[in-house]
Amino acid sequence: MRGLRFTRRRFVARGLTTMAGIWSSAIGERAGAAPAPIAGGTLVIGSEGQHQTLDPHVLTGTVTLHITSLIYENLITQDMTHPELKYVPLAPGVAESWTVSGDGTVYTFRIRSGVRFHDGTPLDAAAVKANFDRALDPSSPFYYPPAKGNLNFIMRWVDRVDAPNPATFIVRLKQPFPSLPEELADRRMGLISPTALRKAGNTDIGAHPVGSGPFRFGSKSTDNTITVDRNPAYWGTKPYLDRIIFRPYPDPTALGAALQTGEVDVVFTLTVDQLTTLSKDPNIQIQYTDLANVFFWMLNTRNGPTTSKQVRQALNYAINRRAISNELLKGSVRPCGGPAPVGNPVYEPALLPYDYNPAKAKALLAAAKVPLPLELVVMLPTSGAELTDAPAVGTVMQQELRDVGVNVAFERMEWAAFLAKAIKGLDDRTAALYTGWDTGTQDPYWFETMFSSASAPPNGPNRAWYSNSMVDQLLAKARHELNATQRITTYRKAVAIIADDAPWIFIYQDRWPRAIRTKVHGFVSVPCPYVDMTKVWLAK
Amino acid sequence: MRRWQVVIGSCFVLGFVTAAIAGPLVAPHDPYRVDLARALAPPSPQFLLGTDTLGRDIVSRLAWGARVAFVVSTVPVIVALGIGLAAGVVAGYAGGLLDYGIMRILDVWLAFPTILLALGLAAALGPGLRTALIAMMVVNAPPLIRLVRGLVLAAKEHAYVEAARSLGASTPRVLVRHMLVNIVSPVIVYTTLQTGRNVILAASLSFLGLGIQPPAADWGVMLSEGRSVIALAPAVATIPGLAIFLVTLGFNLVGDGMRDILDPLMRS
Repeated sequence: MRGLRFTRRRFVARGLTTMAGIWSSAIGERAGAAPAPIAGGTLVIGSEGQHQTLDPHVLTGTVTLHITSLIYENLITQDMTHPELKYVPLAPGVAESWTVSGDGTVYTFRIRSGVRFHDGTPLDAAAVKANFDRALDPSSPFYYPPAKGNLNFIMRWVDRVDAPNPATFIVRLKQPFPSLPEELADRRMGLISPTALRKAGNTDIGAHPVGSGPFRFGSKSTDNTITVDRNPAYWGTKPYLDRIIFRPYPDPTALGAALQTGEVDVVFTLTVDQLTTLSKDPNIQIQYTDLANVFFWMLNTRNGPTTSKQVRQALNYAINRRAISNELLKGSVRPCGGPAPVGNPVYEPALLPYDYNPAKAKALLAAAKVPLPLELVVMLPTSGAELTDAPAVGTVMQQELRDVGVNVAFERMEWAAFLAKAIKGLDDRTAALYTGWDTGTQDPYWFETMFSSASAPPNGPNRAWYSNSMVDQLLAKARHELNATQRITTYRKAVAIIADDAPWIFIYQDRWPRAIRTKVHGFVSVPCPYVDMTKVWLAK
Repeated sequence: MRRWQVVIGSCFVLGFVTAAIAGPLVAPHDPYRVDLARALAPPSPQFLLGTDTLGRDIVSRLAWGARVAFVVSTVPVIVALGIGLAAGVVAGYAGGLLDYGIMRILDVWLAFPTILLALGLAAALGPGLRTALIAMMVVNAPPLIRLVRGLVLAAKEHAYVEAARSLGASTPRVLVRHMLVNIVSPVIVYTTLQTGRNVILAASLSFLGLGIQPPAADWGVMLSEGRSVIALAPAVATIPGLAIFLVTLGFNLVGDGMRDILDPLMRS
C-alpha cells in the first residue's frame, strides 16, 4: 500500500511483457503479428509539475517516483506482465526468495548474488540493512527522520533487522504483518547505495542518486529535466531504450499540447478535454490502468447532521455516479458506490451498494428527522496538481443534493491551503471534505489507515473522525491474520460495515488514463501507476 | 466622427446596463440548473447559444453575469470616486505637509501590483465577491486621488478662484461652487474609462479564482470553466470573453469620445 496519497487523474503504468502476444491483445491495438522489439532510442516522458528530490525514501506522489523506480530496485518487485489479472502479482527483486516463520514475525530474505550499485559497490545484505537503518535506527549514521516518517507504514511494525551474512537479510516484526512483502514492493522502498549515501549525505543524496536499477542517473538540467541512461551492467533483463528523458510541464494543457506535437512520447496525466481530443489523434493511443483508488467526500461523523447514519446514506443515494462518470468525465472514471474499488483484493460488487436513488435519499432524510433543507459546508480543493475535476464534479453534486433538499456551500481552497487545513481533521462547522486517493499496491491494509478510529488526526488520515469499534476490531484482526483467505474474509466483513455506515460519499474510481504515442511499444495495462521500462521500445 | 464613437459606445453600454437590470428577469432558464444529459449542446431555439460543460444555458448565465459585472465594475469606481474627491481636494487645496503625506502614501499604494494585492486580500478574507470589491476599490482609488489633486492644484491658481476668495467666499463654497464644477469633466471621463477596465479586472480576478466563486454566473468564472474545453467547444469560453470585450470597448468609446467633446483644447 502506498500510503495515503491524495492525487488526481494521472499516472500510469507499466510496460512489459515477456510474450509479445500478450500485450498486443491486451491493449487491443494493432491486430496481427506483434513486431519484434527494436533496441535503442530515447523516450521522452512529460511530467506534470516539478520533479522533487530523487531520494525515494522521502518521496510521495508518483511523478518523481516514476523516475526513482528506474534508478533504484526493491527487495521485492511487481510482475507487471499480466494484464489478464485484476491485480499485480509480486516477483523477486533484489531478494531472489524469502521465507516466513510459522508465527509470521520473522521474514528471511535471500539476497541475489552479484547485484551491484551503479557506483560498482555490491548490493548485499549489509547494504539492505543500511537502507532500513535509515528509517529505523536512530543510532545509525544513515538515520534520517524524514525517511522514518515517510516509511512508517512499514517501519512501525518492524522490531529490528539483521544481516548475518552477505546473502541473508532478516526482518523481525513486533507482531505478524502479512502485508510486508506487498509493502516492500512500494516504490518508496528503493535501495540506495550506502557508499553514495555516506558520500553525499542524507539531504544531498537526491541530487546524486545511486541505485542498482536498469537505468542510472544521467543528468539534471536547470529547467529540472532529468535524464536516465541504460545501465549496461544491469543484472536482469537489460532495457531496449538507451535513454529516458523526464521533462516537467507546469500546466496540464501544455503537457497535452507537447504530446500532440511529438515533443513528448508519453503523458501520465490527462484532462477530460485532452482525453477527448487525443483519442481522435491516430498517432496517440489512450491506455487505462484502473489502479485501485476512490474519490469521495469524507463526512463529519463527530458533529453536525452528518453524524446520522441515515443522513450519510441519503447523501450517497442522491449522487448520480453514472452521469458524473460517463457524461461529465467522459468515461475517464467509473462509478464507485462503496469503499472497495476494483483492483483491491477485497473488491466485490456487493461492497459497492450505493446507486442513484433520489427517492430513497429523500425518504432517508425524512426518516432521519433533520430540518430541511439541510445546510452543509464542504471543503473543496480548486487548484494545484491534484483533483482538477473536483470543482466541476462538486457543482454537479451540489445540484443533485439540492434536488433532495440538501444545500451545499463550498469552501473553496487552493491545494496547499486545503491540505494544510484538512490534515488537522474536519472542524465542527464543516460537514465534509472532497478528496481522493490511490493505493498504488493493492493490499487491503490501507482500509485500516483510512477507517480505524486510531487513525484520526493527528495520527492519520481519518479526517472526518469515523469510529466504529466493530470495524476497529475486525481491521486489527485482519492485519495479523496469516491465512490469506481468512484475511480477505475478515476485511470484507469490516468493509461491509463501513459501506453500510457510509462515512464517506463514495463517488468514483479514476481509471488513470495515460496517452502514449503509437511508436512507443511495450506499455501493459495493469493496475499500477508505474511502468516496467525495460520492456518499452520505440518503432523506427 | 467623435459623435459616432460615443453613439456606438453608448449602445454597448446601454445594452450592458439593460442586461444587468432586465437580463435575470427575462433569462429563459435557471443559470445554475445542471443537467449533464444536455452538456455542450449546440445552439438551438431552446438554448440560443448552447450549453456549457455542465449543461447550463449560456444565454441565461450571460444575462445573470451581466448583473454581477455591472455591480463589480461600478460600485468600486463610485466608492473610489468619493475617496478620490475627498482626499484629492484636501491634498490639492491644503497643500503642505498634508499633501506631502497623502502623496507619499499613494506612491507606496500605487507600487503594489493589482493581482498581488488581490491575492493577499483573498488569502486574508477568503476569495469571493466581497474580496473582489475591496481589492478593486483599493486599486481604483489612488489614481483618482492623484487626478483630483492635480486638477485642484491647477485650478487653485486660476484668477476666478482668487476672485471668489477676495469676494469673501468661504473655503467650502470656493471648493464646491467654483472648483469642483471646473474639474468634473476629466473626472467623469476617467471614471468612465475605469468602469470599462473594471469589467476586465473583475473577470481576471474570477478567472484566477480570487474573486467571485463558481458556480456563480459570472463572466470570469464562465471564461475559466470554458477554458478546459477550449479545443472541444470553443464557444463556451469565447462567448463570455466577447461580452467582456464589447462592454469594455463600449466604455472606452464613450470615455474617449466624451474627453474629446468635453475638453475645449481637443475641439477642432
